[in-house]
Amino acid sequence: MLRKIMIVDDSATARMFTRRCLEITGCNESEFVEAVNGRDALEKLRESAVDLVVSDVTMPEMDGRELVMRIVASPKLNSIPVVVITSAGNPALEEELKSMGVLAVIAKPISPPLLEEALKSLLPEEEY
Amino acid sequence: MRDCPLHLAEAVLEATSETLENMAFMEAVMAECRLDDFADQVFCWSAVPVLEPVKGTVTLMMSKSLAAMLTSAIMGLFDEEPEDTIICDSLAEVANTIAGRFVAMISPDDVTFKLGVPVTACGAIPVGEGIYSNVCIDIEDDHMCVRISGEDILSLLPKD
Repeated sequence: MLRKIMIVDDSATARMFTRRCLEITGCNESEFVEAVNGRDALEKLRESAVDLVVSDVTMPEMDGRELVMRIVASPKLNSIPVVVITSAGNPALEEELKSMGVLAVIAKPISPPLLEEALKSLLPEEEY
Repeated sequence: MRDCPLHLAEAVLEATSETLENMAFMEAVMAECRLDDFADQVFCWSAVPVLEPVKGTVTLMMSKSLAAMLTSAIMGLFDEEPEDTIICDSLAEVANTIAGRFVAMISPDDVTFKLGVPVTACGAIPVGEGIYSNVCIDIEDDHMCVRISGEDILSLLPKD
């Protein structure tokens, strides 16, 4: 079970919408932590561990790519699965993120079925 | 403004439909209306710059009442009127998603594209500059408009 999920996006609407999609996908009993950019996310990750990070790419101060790089580089954080959501089309960035170990890269608009597919390996079968 | 070619309108409608159905469970259909028809309404709009591979802008425009309804649907607010800041944030997110889908549709699969930060405001309908096309769309008995601006981005569409 994904007990604690971090959603990283500078848009409050996107954070709320992502949370609703995750709840429909089977994460309705999870605790959610929100961060407004990569820097905020890293600070909150240092305070307490999470079971999944779902992050936007384009954000002020620290974007999703740098957040992933820092998570991967940290022995304490690099076991956390990361899903990246993007509104831009960038095959090179997608490849780079996947080569860094990102679980999935999803194009907006996200939906419960897309998240379900991305999280298949993390959710027990009965949850989706 | 040039006449809106059908394939442009179809691409805009498809990008808008996918976005609104996923985010707000709202159905979008092509409208016959013209933007001038709602000149007396308070409009909210969000303009998303397209930075790569070509320059242009995708602007989403709608009445403030429709923007509030859309925000409530996305955020799951049933008993409260959304604040203006939340309406602008929602509109920017919807515009950003529509812009991403639209540019993805008109670009080759392997092309990298990049969007800028949306600029969002409420007030008068923004004046169009340069070459642009407006696509009017009906949702929930109201109207919205998606404006595609810029010679470069419009040139990506197939010629009639």
